[in-house]
Amino acid sequence: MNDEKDLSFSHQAAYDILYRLYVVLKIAKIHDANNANFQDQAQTLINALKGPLRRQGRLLIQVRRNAFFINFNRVRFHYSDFHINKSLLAEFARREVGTLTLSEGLDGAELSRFIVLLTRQDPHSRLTFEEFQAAVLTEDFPHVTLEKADKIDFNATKEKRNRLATQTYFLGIAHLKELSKTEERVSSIHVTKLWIQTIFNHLIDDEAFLYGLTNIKNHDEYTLNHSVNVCILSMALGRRLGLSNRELMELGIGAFLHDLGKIEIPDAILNKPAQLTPDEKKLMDQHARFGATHMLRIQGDKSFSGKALAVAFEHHYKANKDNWSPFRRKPNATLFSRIVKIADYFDAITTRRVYRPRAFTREEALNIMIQNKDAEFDPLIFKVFVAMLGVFPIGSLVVCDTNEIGIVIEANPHPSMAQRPVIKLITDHEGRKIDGQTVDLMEIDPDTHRFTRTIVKTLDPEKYGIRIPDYILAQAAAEEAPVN
Amino acid sequence: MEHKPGSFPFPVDGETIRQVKDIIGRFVHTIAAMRLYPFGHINVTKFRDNLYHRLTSFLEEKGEFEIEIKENVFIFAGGIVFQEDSGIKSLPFLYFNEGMRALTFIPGLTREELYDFLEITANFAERPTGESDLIEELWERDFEFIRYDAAEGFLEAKVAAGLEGRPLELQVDRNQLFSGRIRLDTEDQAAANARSQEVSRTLSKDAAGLANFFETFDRTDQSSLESMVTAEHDVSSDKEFIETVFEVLYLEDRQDKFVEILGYLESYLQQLFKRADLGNAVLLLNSMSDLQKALRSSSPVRSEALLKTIREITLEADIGVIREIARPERVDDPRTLYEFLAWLGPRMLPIGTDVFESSSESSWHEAGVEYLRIMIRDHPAETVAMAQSRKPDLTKTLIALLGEQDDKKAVLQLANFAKSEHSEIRLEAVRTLGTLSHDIARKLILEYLNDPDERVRIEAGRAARLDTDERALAQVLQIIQGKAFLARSSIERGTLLLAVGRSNTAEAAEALKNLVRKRRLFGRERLQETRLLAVAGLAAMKIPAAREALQAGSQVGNQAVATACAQALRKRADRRREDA
Repeated sequence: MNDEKDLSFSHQAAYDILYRLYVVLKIAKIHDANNANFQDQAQTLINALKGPLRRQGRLLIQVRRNAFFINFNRVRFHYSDFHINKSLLAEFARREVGTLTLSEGLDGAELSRFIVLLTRQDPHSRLTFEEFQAAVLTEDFPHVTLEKADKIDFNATKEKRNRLATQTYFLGIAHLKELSKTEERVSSIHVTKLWIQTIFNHLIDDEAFLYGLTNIKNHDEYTLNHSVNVCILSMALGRRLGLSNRELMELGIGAFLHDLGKIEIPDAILNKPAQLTPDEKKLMDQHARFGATHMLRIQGDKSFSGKALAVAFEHHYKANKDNWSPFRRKPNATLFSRIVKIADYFDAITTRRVYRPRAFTREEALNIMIQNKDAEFDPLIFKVFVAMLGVFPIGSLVVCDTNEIGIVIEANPHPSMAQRPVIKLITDHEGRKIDGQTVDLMEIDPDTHRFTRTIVKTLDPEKYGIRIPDYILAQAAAEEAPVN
Repeated sequence: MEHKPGSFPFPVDGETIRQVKDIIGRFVHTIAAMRLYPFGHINVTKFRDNLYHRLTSFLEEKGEFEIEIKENVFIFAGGIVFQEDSGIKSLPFLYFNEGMRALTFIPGLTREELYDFLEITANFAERPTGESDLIEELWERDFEFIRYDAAEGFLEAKVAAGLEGRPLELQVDRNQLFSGRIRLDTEDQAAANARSQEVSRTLSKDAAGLANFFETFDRTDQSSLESMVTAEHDVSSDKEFIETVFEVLYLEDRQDKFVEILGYLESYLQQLFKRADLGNAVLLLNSMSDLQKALRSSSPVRSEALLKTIREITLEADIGVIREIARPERVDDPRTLYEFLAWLGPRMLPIGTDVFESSSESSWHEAGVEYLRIMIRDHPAETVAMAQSRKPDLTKTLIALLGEQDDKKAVLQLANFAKSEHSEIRLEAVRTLGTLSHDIARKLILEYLNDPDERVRIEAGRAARLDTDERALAQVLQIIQGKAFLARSSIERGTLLLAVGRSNTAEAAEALKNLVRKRRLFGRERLQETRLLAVAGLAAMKIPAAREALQAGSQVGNQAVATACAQALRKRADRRREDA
């Protein structure tokens, strides 16, 4: 072990290796091994590996709880490189690889062969780790070894994970309902915190599924569903921006409780199927302040969360400062409020209400928000939000050039390929409803060397009586088992 | 139980097991010590440091340290390395009960991370059950080199346990979802067909717009976002809380809610006191005052409620608590501490003046002077009452600050110091009085002319304005003509005679002339010196009577005196020529 003691690694060096690996994997999915671009990038990767391999003898690229480590040094990704982390994780998870060890002596040819094997589409069903490892042994890679991931590294089975996430979603609604009724219960905030941490864990496990859940809209208890959705979207956005866990907790509380003040607005106004009178509007506009007062009461003197309070109070503040209070001391709305405002707006306009009989599709909503971005939102945060949801946000109903209809269930992590998400097919090419495959629109037809499917149109689900949330929930409903 | 090698990247032999047991033992003992002894206790420090050294040595050698957690045991490589069956006292049980199933330390572990982890555990163990969650607290701390794995579904079950009712359950009719048919309407079908024809332009109009928006995300944006997030890290949640609550209060027109929020603020202020967070305490108090002023005309009722709260805070603040907070070692910025004390008013003067007297650093001194300046302006009597002979620095500063005021009240406060037993204080008082223009100040100075301390008398002599104050002049003339005058030191005599000369009055010239000409059988040396000092006094005068006195002096038999007078006359002549 003595020759392995110096395992220190600069963060930049570790990041560079993962970045190079990401680029090579991405090219390998589109081009074959003879492609000049692929060969150039493989050589760049081997050049980045040579120095560390010479100094340290071997490189351990490990995944632990969705985080990458190189020779035990954790590699942190910035929000703008989030897709790199996500894409690499997906590759490791696909092969159930927990540790990839590269040893001194590895050359460009061996590395290229391994990359091709790693990214190869499996002929029938996906290979298990053992089958993949057997292939690695057969094809002789003397300087590459693999270890299977622990269960915890990529967590439970997708169905079980989705079921837990769904239950967490509904627990959030139930909890908020109780909080709204029993405002004196100081201990409630303790449950809120637990719930937020749980939601965060699910975001780490499967961000896409959580986005999918935000398609759930309960028109009877709009505010409850809406608050849970806003909380999920806000925390996902905060995570991309690089907020710490402590900050995410405050952001989560603020987002979860941002509309608490609506309990003081009469239902007749909240659900009025017509334009509000000036007096009604004035009252409605005060819900943010009412919410802040309620939050104070809920928190009591136990734990004051200032940024969460600011979110409840400021979430309707406009970026152009039109509606700011005259006694304002702060020059800007807090970053958290700006995040929640975007999530709040998006979720609100994608929901059908009595006064808005047709909800905008997610894609339409993003386009409307782009039109208003300078007056309403922080334009930079909004850009990150759009990048997060993708060109076709999860839950979008799309029709492909094959005439098949599907629902977007996962965004493409590569920004330049954002129009090629993962979709769940719900009809065949003749429009017959099916429990179809989940297909990656990056797939290339080996005969034509063209993409197998391409989205040609988004559809309005309401027009075709499609309840998107049901399809999202169906992913989790396979194994029914309530919590506790 | 047999130890299995598992997936460890190092051989698990007997020596490794011994090391692991040793580290676990130290780990358990350190937490026990932290629960037993107060923060910073030598035992805690020793245990903690030892643990850190052992653990980091292990990590350096082996790569990582991972233990599995079961109900009452810690397990390493499949074998028990620690067992404690005593229920709630058991550390494995505590972790297990909180849902933790594995704990891993990885290379790079810092002292700070380990100590925080230990502290969170120890604090958690002391709290009543159900008041907080260990996993949640650890998660918020976001350790880089410590990983812990929670049991799957544990958090979800805990959230569910916190609810009174049951959440909705999933109900999806899969048959309905996946049966039937979707027929696109003509418009959608046509659009889809058209676009299928040109798959190279696959994006719908809307999606194309979004794609363009993607591409505009560049490095400048990234840098701006980084700055934004970094700035957010620096914004304290407390500051955000205070600023938001006051904005809410400004808009809150329901009196009952307004008063209720003020109540929250009062208890929040107590929390800030407990945390010794004076910066935010000051921010809160200043905001309260600002809002009170802002509402004075538009909402007198709310303004009055604020005023009442402010009064209660200042009158009811616990001096014992504040004294504990105000220890310099607990405070980063002395200005904040003094601003805080000033806010709480004269009741806190004993604390403020103690701190002032005990701190010697210049930044503390400057901040303390500023505090005393405010206090002496707003509460002069109470502040001056803090002056004591055993606090000479404080007293001298108070005197100097009174001097800045230059009004009757300040001068009367200064008068108190004339009676001080401490000569340093009297000296400072007379110096300060000398800088003041107020009539009372001049009168007060005269009292010091007969002070027992010579330095005080000299200072009084320098400060006395004999040119404009006949009474003062008469008093000084009486002194210099008295028998005891010769007994005073040469500096004191010189100072007084020069002061007499500067009065430029005929009486002064006459008195000095008499001294110049004075003859005596005994004590001739002192007299000689006094006569020469009187010549200096005359030389300082600008009236004809002085010239005449000097001329007379130049004729006296005493050679030294005559020469001094002649020289003084020559200087006068030179000066006059220069003036001409």
